[in-house]
Amino acid sequence: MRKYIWIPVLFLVVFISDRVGGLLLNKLLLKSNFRYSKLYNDKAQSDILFIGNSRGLVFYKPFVDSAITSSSFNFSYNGLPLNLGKVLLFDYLKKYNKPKKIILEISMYGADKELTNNMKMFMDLSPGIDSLIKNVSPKTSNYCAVSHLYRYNGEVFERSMFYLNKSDDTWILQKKISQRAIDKIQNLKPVTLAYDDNYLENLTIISTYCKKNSIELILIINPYFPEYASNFKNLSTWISGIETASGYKVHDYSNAIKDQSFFADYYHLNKNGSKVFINLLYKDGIIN
Amino acid sequence: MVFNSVTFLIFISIFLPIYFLLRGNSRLVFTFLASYLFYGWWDWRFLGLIAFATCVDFFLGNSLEKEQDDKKRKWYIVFSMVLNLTLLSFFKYFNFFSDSFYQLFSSIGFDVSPLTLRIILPIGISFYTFQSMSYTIDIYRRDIHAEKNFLRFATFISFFPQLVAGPIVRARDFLPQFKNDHNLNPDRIILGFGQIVIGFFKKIVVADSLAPVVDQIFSSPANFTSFNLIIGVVFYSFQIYCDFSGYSDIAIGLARVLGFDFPRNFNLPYFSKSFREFWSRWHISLSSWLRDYLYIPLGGNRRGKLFTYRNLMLTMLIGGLWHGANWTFIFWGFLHGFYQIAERLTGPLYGKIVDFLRIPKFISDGILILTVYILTCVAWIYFRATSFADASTIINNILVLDNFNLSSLVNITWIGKGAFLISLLLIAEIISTKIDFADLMLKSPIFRVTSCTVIILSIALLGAFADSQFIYFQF
Repeated sequence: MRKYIWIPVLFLVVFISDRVGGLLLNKLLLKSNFRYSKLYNDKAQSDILFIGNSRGLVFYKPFVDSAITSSSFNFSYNGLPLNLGKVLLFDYLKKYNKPKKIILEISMYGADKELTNNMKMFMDLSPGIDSLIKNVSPKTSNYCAVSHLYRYNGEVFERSMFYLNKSDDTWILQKKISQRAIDKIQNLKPVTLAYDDNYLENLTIISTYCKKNSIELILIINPYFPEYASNFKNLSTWISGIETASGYKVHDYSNAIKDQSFFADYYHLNKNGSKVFINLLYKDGIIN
Repeated sequence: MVFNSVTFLIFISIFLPIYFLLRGNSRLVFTFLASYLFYGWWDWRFLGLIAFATCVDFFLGNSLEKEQDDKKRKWYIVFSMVLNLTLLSFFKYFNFFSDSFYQLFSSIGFDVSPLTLRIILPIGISFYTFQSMSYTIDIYRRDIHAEKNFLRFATFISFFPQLVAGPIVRARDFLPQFKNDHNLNPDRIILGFGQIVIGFFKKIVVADSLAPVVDQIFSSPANFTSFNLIIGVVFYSFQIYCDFSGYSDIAIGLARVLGFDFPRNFNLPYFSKSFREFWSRWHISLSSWLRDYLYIPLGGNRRGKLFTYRNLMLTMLIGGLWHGANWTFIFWGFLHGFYQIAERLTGPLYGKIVDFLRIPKFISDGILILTVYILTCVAWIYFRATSFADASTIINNILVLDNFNLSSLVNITWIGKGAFLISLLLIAEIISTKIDFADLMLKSPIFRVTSCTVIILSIALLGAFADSQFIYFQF
């Protein structure tokens, strides 16, 4: 039997290393300057909150800071769905003083299961994330119980390590849309904008909370590449559906920027475009 | 059932203790039933197909052995070949040939109606058919004796570690190993477990982490810049390598734990200095099968240069077709045939240039390794692309070399992680040529526990747990 003693030893070493590794990575995670690390480490107190998916990243903090004196915090992340955005927002509202204003980019439609699973490293810090993961992917939740290191397996953690010693406020697309993409726009089929009951339900919860707590909520559509935006089949009905459900007016900037060089692709402004857009928001009194 | 699933973890946890408790025939029965359960978990309907092929080849093998009349023996072997290839062709190639004939006749003006059946490809059919065929061919050649024990033969065909994606094991190597009961062997457990863990690392950490980038880029190549496309192709070359060699490692490791020795299936293929060498390092069990049962019977290199080139090309074309029913696979085979012919024509000239310019060996070897790798990647484009149009788009857009900068990358986190994992793999492979890890695993318990812990924790931290299939299941 002595020849097999290494097997239980291996299991024991793996188990202990996994738990110790998990603890160390948790410390590292909370040290990071990444937006969600700041959120759960009491470093996110702000007057204005921005929420969106990758299109919300155009609320580029250096430009926002140069336009207004109020402090701001951006929750946006690539593919962030509204159900997860709502959980993050309510975690903020539980931990911090209430903000003056919440600016919500409304194209956060869809259920990005992978991104939700990616937030598993915060499941100990957020009962909302914990229950969302249990709902969306019970398997992930079980794996997290087996291995604590597994909680740190994913893009969100990798990003948080990337921003360990530097700010993530400068996260924005720099490139200009390629000529090939511009040429291809002629062949694109008309685009249908969508939402579902779950989306509307989450939006209603956010808007009801804001009304009840006197927080100004601004619903907004950020700019799309102009030729792409003119391809929407149902923009006005989509907007009116959202306005009816939330009880808030939607500020439509989908076709507000015409210069093609301000876009990184059909859906995202680049850094130069962001500057123009922030100035426009300031001029219109959306941010102040 | 796939290796990278919780179901398999439960299956193997139950299988192993019972396997080692049993002896003789009862162990054989148990292994046979477990193998059928493993396969039937995916689709029980195709168990009949394996059982049928097994019965026929068992009967024909014994008939071939007994029969002394050469004419009759020839009929038996032809019957075995026709039957195996008919099954393979029907399930794997029916729709391909039907579509191709339809397109051909339509293009020359004949009005024919397309004949399409919704045929599901039974997983692993190419592997077990080739394994079974090699058995009857070897008996026909009188290289081996026919197996008299049906249960042993049926377990040889359906042995679960290598049933669905190889390695293709020859009867002469594998069947004799069933004759002894293998006791629980500590050295085998160490080496087998080590290889299984490495296999899971290659599959779950490397291959599955590269997969999202590759899938995204190959699904709509026209949307990506040259830099992204190059990364997509390089990532695919490592994805398919780690996916397939990872599966082989798990299969070989499992077999080793159970007391069986399988031949190595991959041997650092991307360090090959020629295509001949590449094919002695990549999917070795298939390339050696094609060599022994196709290339050499066709005449090999015994009948002059032109015949050698013809035989090489035919072997590679059939190797391409073996992978799947698509013209892109055949073209992939054609490219590898072409590379091998071109290599034979230009090899001596390259040697003379190296001698004339007195290029140091490490530089000339480096040039060869890089050239073989790049050309292999070009062939991979056709292997992975869903159509010739997509493959051409990728090649054309790469050659344009537009937007060749970091900011044009689709997802720098994924790409950074992929590049890191590929570098790690290459470093580990280079070190493995200098250090005998297997020997270290056996001799040093500290090294064994430490290295296994690091790999297991890396799988937890870096692995992609998306329940993905192994790429070679589709072949």
